[in-house]
Amino acid sequence: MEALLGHLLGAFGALASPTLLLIMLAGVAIGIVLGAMPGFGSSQALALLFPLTFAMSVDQAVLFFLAVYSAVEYGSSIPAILIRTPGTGASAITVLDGYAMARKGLARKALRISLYTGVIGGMISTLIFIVAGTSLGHVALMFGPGELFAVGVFGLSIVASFFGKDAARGFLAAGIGLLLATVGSSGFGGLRFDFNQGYLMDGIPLVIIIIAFLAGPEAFRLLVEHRRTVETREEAAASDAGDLNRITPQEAKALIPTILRSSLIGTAIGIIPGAGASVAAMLAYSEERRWSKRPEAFGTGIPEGIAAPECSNNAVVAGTLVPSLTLGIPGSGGAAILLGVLISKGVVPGPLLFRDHGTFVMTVFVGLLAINVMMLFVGLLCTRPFSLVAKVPMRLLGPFVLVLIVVGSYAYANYTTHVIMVLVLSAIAYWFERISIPVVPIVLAFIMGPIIEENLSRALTITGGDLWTVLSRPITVVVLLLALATAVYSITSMMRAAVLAEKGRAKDKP
Amino acid sequence: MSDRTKRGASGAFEIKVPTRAALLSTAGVILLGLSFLSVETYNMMPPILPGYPGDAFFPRLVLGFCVIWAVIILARSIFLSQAAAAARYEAPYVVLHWLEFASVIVLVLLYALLVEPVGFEITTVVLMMALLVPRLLAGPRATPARAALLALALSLATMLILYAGLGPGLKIGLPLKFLPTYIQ
Repeated sequence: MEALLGHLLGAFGALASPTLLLIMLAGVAIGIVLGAMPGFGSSQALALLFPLTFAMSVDQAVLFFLAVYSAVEYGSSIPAILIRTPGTGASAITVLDGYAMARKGLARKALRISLYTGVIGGMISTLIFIVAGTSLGHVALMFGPGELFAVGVFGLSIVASFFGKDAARGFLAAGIGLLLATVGSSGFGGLRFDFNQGYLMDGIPLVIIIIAFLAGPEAFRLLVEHRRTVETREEAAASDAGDLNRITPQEAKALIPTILRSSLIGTAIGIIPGAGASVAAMLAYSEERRWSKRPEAFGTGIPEGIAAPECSNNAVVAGTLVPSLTLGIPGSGGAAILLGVLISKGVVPGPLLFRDHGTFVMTVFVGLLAINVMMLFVGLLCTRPFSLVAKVPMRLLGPFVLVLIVVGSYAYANYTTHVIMVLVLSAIAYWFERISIPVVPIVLAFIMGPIIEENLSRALTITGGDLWTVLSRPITVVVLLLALATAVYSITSMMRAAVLAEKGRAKDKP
Repeated sequence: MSDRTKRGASGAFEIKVPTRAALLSTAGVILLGLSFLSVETYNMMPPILPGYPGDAFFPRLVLGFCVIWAVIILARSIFLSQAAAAARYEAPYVVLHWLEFASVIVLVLLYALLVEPVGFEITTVVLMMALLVPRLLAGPRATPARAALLALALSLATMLILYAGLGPGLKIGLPLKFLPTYIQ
């Protein structure tokens, strides 16, 4: 206890340095801007900023990276809410209710919910880390390829929650997403569905899929139907919902259980190496809908639909630190770069880190709390100017969204083929939306596909092709059973809702 | 459909397809694509490691899964009664504004082909203007001169913001013609 207090005092002493605080603030601001750009996930942002850490001390470098890492997760939700273009896969779920709320004239409210819940999620998971960091680290060791395959299947079972009215079209969409994920290298030396085209050999980048299937159809809709979206001056004025943009105490109170559940989900998923923020956001959203008294309202722009994914994907950051710092196992691409920074500064991650560098570890914990507070202030300053985007008339927003996605997809790798890929896939996604084939399952299945396939292949290779050994490990069995229960529950509740809607329609008929 | 949408005036250059036919033809095209991809899996690398099920294992599993659901959609579109099928669709018809749709496709294709030879600055401004002018003209109290001027100003501003963010900001090597490049 005495040692803990000593480390805590040391941490506060280190954090009192104005230089360190300024570096963290800069990290938060840069992270929000990078996160808001399509294609800049935490890994890309940290890789880009890696050279900046050469001149920093170990405390400064790690806290700068953590500030960027946390802020990227928040920043990516800004374009997801305003223009249906998530900066990362983790914010793809935020699109559902965030964009719907923004289109009701409540963009500022959606941004605030995303900010507040993200910050609270980050803080809760940091506190969990402070209390139970070392013991939780050993949970990560229990997850081998077989267990991660089961986690992937569990993630896929949640996709059923995003099917909409018709399960058959939803399943087909999920299958298309899985199929797109198989393009390119198999990871075992072979190439698949590349048709001898160089641009397909590395597979389709996730950024291209996110842009094409989420932002693309919306850009097409805004552009193709622009004559139908001409607003009168009165309508444009009415689009600012004024007082409705405030979060009422009742709404805040109602969000408390959502925040608690989603923070725990985010932290737990963060601890599992390789699962990541996308799985956490999907799981939190699906769980929230399951717990909700109004599941049918999800997707129409309700606060819980924004709070759940945002809270959980920010909670993942501290969760990822658990296996990274306690065992030296990077939980994500971003965490791997963070470990690189630590090692380059002569600090070896692992169980001994807590014994040999206790004050440093405590500085990271307390610094992470400070980063979340900074994110709150910077985010609040940005909310009003960002929300002005929602006031741009819909017919004029289309060209800006299209140019942003065209330039964004080109700049991702300076490759014009990516622009054409986005164009073709966006046109297909637009058509799918017109005939009610849901596009969100395509993106989610694309994210889950490699987790499932790579881990299954690895597990089978380790066990010499013995599927029974892979599937009969205790954690795998439990997770697979959970996946089955989730899928059955999602589909039956969807069918029940369809039957009720049908009855309602029959009753309405004279 | 919102009131705003209902008030829309664009009647020409539209294709109106019954949703049932649209879904039927889409499922048919997807099935054809799946059959082609199934044949393609036989060109994939056989397993080289003991225990590894091979490169084609997972794609075949997914292809089978997709075929099942595509066939269900196809069969339902063919065999369900008109009334039962209609209850499953959001709207009885899918309306596609083909001219607007085709113009967006052509503009983006031209951008992709010309951005490197002509340069980021000019192609971005031209693409933005081509999209903005007709939309500004559709607004209240718009004149061609005002729309063109406003479109030019907005296009230049957008291009400069994108350049500042991607070029000097993120050191991304854009194909620039006259603005200073920040990548060696």
